[in-house]
Amino acid sequence: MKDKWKAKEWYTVLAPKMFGDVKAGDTVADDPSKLIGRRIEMTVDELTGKLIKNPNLKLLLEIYDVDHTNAYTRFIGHKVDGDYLRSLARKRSSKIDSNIEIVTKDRESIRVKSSCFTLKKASEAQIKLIRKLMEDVIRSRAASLEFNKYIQEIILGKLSSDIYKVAKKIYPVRRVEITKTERAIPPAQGREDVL
Amino acid sequence: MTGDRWAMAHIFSSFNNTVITITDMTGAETIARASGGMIAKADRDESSPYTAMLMATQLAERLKEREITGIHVKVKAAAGRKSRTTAPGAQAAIRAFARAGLRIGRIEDVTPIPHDGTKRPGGKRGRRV
Repeated sequence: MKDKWKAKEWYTVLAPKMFGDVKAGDTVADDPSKLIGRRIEMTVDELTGKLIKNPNLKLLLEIYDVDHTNAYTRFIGHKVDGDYLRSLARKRSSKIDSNIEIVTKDRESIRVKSSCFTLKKASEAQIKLIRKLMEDVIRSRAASLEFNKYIQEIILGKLSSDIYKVAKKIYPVRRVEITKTERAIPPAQGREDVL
Repeated sequence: MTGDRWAMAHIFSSFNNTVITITDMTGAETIARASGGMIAKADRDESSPYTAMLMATQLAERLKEREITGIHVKVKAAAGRKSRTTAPGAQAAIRAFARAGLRIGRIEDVTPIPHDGTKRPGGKRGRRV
């Protein structure tokens, strides 16, 4: 056990370029090829050095390339903390979910899941309309933005505030969250096709 | 040497045992681990807070050897049809880590919650002793 540990080396995991190459954490391995495919979670707090205060938002990053002791990651998805979402869901108010697959301007496809919480119970017709508007906003923003920009809008909360503005015209809305994004990508290959 | 090196502590805490596994941030490599039976003599002590404390202090020493300054904690309860709240071991372990001089980052509950599943034993009228 002891000897095995001595053979291992530490690697610094870096966040993707779109987030400014911040250190995401450390990982240890005896062989750099073992790093590829490992995933690391980090909160937006850590990423931005507390510029954006949102401890509920987590990014999922996957290592795709190793250079000396640096491991480079790409964005796999994000999720909002389950406890936080559970605190938003209340009695006598509606929770409107949507789950759609979208394609961004640079033809990057991701699945976007979002939730909208109303102040009071909405009728089925209102719920359906709000859901439709949510999906319209998510789709149209994706069509006009590149992948990197789109992810940034989600993380900064711009997309959810856009949805909020539209949805509140239908029914009073308490909060809108983009709860999850998932990128369906084949297992790590070379470094050229990476964002 | 980089100043800050964080690791992840996965604490599984049921009413019968406590298992602490310390991994790197990706969760792929185990750095150190300990469970109740490695310390307690009697089976019933495996889940006690005192055992958890001893485990944590031992692990903290190992972590210092391996130059780790802080840990993020993921706590898990027995789950399934058993309790979804953590047993006393988890709390004691976290406290002992903090006292041993490790920095504690986020603490998260990662108990898997089933959306359906099997029924808890005991029947409709509960366990009648």
